[in-house]
Amino acid sequence: MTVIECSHLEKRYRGGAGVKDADFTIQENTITGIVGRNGSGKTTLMKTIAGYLKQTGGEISVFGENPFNSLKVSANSMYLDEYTMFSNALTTKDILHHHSRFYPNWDAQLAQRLADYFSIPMKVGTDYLSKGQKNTFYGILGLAARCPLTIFDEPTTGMDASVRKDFYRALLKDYLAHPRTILISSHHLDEIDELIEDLLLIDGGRTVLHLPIEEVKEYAMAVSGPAIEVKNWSAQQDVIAHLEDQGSISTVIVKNHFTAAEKAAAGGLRFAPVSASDLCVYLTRRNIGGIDDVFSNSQHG
Amino acid sequence: MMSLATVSTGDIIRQQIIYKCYAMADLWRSLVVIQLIAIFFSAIGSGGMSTYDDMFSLSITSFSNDAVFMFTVFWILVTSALITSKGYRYEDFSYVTTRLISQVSNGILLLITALVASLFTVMSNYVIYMVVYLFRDIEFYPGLASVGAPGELLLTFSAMTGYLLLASAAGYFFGVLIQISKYFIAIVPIMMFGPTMVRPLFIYEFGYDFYAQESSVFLFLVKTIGTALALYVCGVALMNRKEVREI
Repeated sequence: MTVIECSHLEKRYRGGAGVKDADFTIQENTITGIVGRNGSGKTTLMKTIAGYLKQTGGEISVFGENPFNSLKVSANSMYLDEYTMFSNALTTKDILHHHSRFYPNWDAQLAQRLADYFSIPMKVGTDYLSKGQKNTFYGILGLAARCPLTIFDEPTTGMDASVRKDFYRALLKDYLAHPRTILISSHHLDEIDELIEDLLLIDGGRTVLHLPIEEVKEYAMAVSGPAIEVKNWSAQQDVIAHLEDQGSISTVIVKNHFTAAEKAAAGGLRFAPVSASDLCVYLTRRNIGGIDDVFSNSQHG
Repeated sequence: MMSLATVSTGDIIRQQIIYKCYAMADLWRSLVVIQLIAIFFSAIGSGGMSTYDDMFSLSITSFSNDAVFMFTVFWILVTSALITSKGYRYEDFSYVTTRLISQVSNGILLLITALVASLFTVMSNYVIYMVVYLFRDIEFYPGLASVGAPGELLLTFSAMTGYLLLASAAGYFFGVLIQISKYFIAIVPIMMFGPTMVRPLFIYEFGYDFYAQESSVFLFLVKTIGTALALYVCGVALMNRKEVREI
């Protein structure tokens, strides 16, 4: 069953930006990583899916309904980020209790055990938790609610390394026991590439890539060698990016759909795999050159 | 696939109201504090007259819960505006809700609040009576409305509820307008008090003629509840398309 369907989805703010053209479908019982640079529209997209924001163009359907003002979507989905709000009149314990009233699949035991494990104070309001504790607490809410669609927007902000690892492990364990649809965004693809099944890459408000993570890892090759040879060989290829030349050695990132014969013709060139997270960086480069160019041609140079 | 939860609008409204009663704990507390302060002022006495002659001196001090009532009207006005603010709205969306459910539960909550606040205000008469009786060395002549017959109390209660609902709906609508645009903070007072340039007591006269002068309790309630409902429905309609957590 299709859980989320977006076609040419657009969400513009008065200032501009947001989502410009999101086109994808997400099937039930998958974990999808939503990746993109700062300001690429990840959060806007996820809030539109959750029904917080109203689209300004295109189509969106979640569980077969437009999520904006849909009770069905609200009852079956959960959006959590570091700005999730709870009254400070309620202690964390109260918040767990209120969740049990709203979410039919709520697992109170799991919530309590995770809270104990992560040493979340139970007698204070969320304002008194540290940034990492707060996000851990929201992560616990997302796991224990067992919503058919759970959206984690940068869930590990402020968590220390060991809590991060434990949280992802808890997420995976609970997902295997109770399969559901999970969207998770992160700046650190390296951290989640073992966890996610699909990757949705967004750049400038557009969906650039939506593939199973295994295919993403095979998607491109780095080819390096003497500049002239690299240039000649790659002329017939889909070049994703040119890296900075290191002396006379030049490197290009090409799509991994060349034939064996083409590879054989490359002769002395070196082929190396490109990790998913590097690929995302190359696919979303804004301009030719890099941070070094900012400093050249200036008084620093 | 995890089976989709089917929930009824009515049940979620009920759950939201229960939640809001907890989340509003601070606001409830502020009502109690404000009424206690007002009771203290009332027990000092308001208005009075004294006269004397060679043989006697007479001083009359009147006590009433008018101050408690005025404080409560102000409290509900501010509280109603406050629950339209981002903090309270966004919180609803941390649970299950839609904009309509969120607002209907706000409306019901404000109705309950007005009824409870009226009850407290009516009862405050007894507290003032008790305080004066215990701590002031004076002869006491209860008036009709203070420790009156059940009929009198019901009348007072109804009238207070009418005014409180009116104040609450006005506060709520004002709060909604501010959420739509911050400019309304300036526009609303100008629209309210602009006409007073021409006729100084415009609002006072209108309010006095339309509501306060109404001699039938039933018609008074129709007028106040009707106005309150109209303001509230306008507020709901304006808010129903408002996005949450937009930044």
